[in-house]
Amino acid sequence: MMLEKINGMINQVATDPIHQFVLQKWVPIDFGGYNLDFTNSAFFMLLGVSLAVVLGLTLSKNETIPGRGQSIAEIAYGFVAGMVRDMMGEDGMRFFPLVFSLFIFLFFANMLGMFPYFFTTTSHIIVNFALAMLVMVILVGYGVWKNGFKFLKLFVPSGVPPLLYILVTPIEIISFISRPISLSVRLFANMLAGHIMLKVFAGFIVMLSAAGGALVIFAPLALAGTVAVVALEFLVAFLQAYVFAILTCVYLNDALHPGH
Amino acid sequence: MGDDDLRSQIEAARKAHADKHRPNPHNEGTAKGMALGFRMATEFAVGPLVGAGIGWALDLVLHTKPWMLIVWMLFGFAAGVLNVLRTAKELQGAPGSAPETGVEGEE
Repeated sequence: MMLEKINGMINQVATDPIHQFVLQKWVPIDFGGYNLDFTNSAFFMLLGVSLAVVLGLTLSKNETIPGRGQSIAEIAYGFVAGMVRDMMGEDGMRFFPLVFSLFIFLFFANMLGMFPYFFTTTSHIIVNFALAMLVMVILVGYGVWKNGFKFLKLFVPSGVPPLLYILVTPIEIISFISRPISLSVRLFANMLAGHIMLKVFAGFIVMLSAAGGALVIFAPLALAGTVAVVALEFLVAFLQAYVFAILTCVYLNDALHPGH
Repeated sequence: MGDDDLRSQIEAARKAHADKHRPNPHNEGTAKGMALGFRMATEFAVGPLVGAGIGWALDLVLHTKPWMLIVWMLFGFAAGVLNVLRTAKELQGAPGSAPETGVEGEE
């Protein structure tokens, strides 16, 4: 009897920590055999992009004494511009639009995911992988266009005796191919693990309170833990967008200045 | 005259602001450390995975099962170590240079 009651309560609050990542079709769209359904993920991507556009529109007034929106936009610009200059030098600023778009998109996607009942776009690896591949395609395309065959020096580091190329080149190739994978897996794993952790901690509150008896004493502890994890997750949401952007700079630097 | 005066005032105000609003070092440290740990872990783990993938694909094409898989996975481990060393070097602020350290152990 008691057990049934507890089970009922647990089912009511849906403690399944994976459930939040389920894609839901909101508007089914079939485009010439391709599945282009408008999902909850697509909606939150669009929401993030529109928020970024709104942030951009605050710059249209361009006042000497900036308002709040303009201040935020200017700080974001200065932050990313400083990062790009530090990592790639002045000629790296041609990649600024790309790095800034990636950073703002990931930042909004991660932050929107922190709202309860919102979907976290970046918790699906394919989204991150597509972004990482975009970076890699631009890296290879621009590197070959600008440096020609010299771009291949990336796989043959200087200061190594030619006999060792047979060992070094495969290692460098693997290291190169692993870049987009590590880039996307890191963001995906962070968001997935963080949100599961949040859900599990929050689930403990309900489970402990429902268990009754002495266990109820521990419920506030779980609540405190949840609050701490939320604070941590906000930092992670920002840091992972930042890490993605800064690694994009590091990688694109190879296209600008190959051969280390 | 007014310019320098204003500048020193701004400097003073900035300093006061920075002193007052110092970020909580404990919380920041945890998240940054976690991000760093995660970065190192993925950098390393991805190496053997990609190596194994390449080796497996080459085996399929060249019908050399299982030799390419074995050899390329070993290359993958080396690449993983190389990735980690590069990340560490980059975090130390040293300019990225040729990875002699990662390769010497291979001989």
